[in-house]
Amino acid sequence: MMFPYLTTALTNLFRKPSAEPFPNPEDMGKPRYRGRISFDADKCVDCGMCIKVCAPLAITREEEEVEGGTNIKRSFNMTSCTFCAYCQDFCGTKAIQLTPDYHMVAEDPEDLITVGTTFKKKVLGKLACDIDNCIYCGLCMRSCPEQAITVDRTTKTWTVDHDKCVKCGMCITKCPKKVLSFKEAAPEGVVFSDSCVYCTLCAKKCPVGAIKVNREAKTWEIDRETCIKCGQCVTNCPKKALSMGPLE
Amino acid sequence: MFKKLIDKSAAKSPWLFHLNTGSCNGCDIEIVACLTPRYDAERFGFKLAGSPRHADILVVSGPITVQSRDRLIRTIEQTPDPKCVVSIGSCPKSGNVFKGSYGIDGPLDKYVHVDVSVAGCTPKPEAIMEGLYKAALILEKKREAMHK
Amino acid sequence: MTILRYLFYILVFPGALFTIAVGLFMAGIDRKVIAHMQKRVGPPLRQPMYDFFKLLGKETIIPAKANRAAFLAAPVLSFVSLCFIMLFIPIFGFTAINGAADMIVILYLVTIPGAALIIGGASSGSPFASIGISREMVTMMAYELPFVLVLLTVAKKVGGDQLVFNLSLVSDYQAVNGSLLSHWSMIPAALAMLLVIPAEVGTQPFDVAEAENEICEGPLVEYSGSPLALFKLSINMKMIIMTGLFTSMFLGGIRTGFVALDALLFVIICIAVMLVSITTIHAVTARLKIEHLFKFYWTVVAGLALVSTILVWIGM
Repeated sequence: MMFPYLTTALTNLFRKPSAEPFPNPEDMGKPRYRGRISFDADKCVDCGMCIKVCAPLAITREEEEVEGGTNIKRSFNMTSCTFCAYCQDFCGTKAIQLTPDYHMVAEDPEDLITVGTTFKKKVLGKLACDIDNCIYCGLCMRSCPEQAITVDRTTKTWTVDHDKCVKCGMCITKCPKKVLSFKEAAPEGVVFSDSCVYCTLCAKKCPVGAIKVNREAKTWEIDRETCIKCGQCVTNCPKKALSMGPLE
Repeated sequence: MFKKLIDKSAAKSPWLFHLNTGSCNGCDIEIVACLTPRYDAERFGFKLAGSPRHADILVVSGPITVQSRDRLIRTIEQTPDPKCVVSIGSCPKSGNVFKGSYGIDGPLDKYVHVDVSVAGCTPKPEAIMEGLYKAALILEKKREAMHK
Repeated sequence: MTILRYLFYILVFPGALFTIAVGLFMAGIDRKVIAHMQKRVGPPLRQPMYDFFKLLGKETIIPAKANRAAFLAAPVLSFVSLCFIMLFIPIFGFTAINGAADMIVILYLVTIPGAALIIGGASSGSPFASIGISREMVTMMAYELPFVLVLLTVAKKVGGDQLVFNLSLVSDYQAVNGSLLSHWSMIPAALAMLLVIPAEVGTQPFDVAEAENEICEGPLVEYSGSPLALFKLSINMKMIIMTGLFTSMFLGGIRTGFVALDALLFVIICIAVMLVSITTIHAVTARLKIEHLFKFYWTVVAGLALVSTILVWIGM
């Protein structure tokens, strides 16, 4: 029988034990340790990238319509999380951080869910690009979580699929030339041009009486609220002074 | 006559039985690491018992696979009262990445009331010791409740 | 009057209460020293007491396949037999029961806890328990041979031509001629006895019969609650009993005149013996397989004891 560690055991009697003191709740892990998730709800733009990349489906999202926008509640369930930090890596605004907090012990499972509510203002309008200044770098295409933008450098095209767009605004942040923005759809209506001779035919043909023409004072007015955009005035104008199109 | 001493001893000498219901062994390695000289769980009286009949705290890791489900139920029944169940890691609580698979059957909550959950994948040995310490304190309360 | 005196001996000193208290204390020291040898902070010294009281508070579950009477009687048998052994061991001049054949009575009484473990395991109705009890039987056979040889050696040395089995006479002989350990022919026997003690107590590397994760604690697998508390207590009581036997046989030459002081010195020397034989070997070894254990005891340890026996028999 051999006793290989006998001398070590006997000398250990005179050394300090190497047991760490039982840690207090404020003790944190080392700097890049991936522990409990902290969520900054103000930075979140609701792009949905974190939910897409989460393998154990630990992130859930609930929305609630309020005045002026939606309240989006995002919850990160620590009891389902794998701590891979994909959500931290893919979050474009760095709203998700994995802190070195490893104390995730709870008797009540509610303590282990990180929740944050973001208020997203209602975005009126659609994504539009100022084509003249666009350099077709494609950064907006690569930063879109839904892959709604298509940019082709060789043919110099920029298109967006408005059905896929979730209006997160990541492309606007990433664009180096700042040519992207949410433009409200321009209202359409009857457009007046200078070739009018004030013959008052349009006023007579208008079925709702929205147009008022004064021959002597040479004025032409239209009540936009009453106008039903039927296009009768446009068809009947002898000088083709009226057209249907976007108002400025 | 020794009621108070018996109640106090329930928290001072909790014996663990570790049950692996299909885990990847990450949490199992960290549980055994709690008994190494660096984290030394034995100074609080923790000891790994060989049989579930000797244990106070059942430490469960792993998503409950279909194969181990019956064994889990039998082991829980074999543990004498007062007992605590501690779930280690995120697998027993929600299945983690194995959610919805055909081979696993539900969170541990379906079979027994879980007293303490330690989240993490895998949790650090310090966090596991904190969870076990909390479970030992719960044991004392359960022991006192058994008198009534 | 004598009945009261003997009741005091049996229940308080040196019977049940003394053995339980000192046994739990020694077990606590054992765990603490092992922890420090492994560079850990161990449990507090009162930990075995907490273990015992916690087990008293647990529910007792008797499996359906178990034989109820034997299942519950085995731990009581083991505990009661151990309460009586200390009465025969001289505590440096004070012996509770002075008989002519102490050693033989002790030999039989010490095998009863092992037999009780076997009865308890056999009545459990579990296959783990049956593996455990067969290993326990082989272990008992293994260490009984050197143990008997050591007892014979001591008897011959003290008595000359007539074998003396009375332990208090052994103690008196040592008071006159110096402790038996100082005679160089007895040293192999002392070594053999030191190696028999861990097997009796059931610690590593000789604990193949019980307390292991391989067969879920062997014969104790179905026990819980108070029967288990009594079994674990028996193991702790065996520590003081076996080391006490060693102390009285080989180191028994001290006389101070006061029973209390004698008892204190006795306990201190027993703790020292325990540290050498049980603790040090426990801290650095793993578990032996049953074949190796049997071979070890019947070759090395029995050989050592036999050397001493031959040396003493030829007169040295």
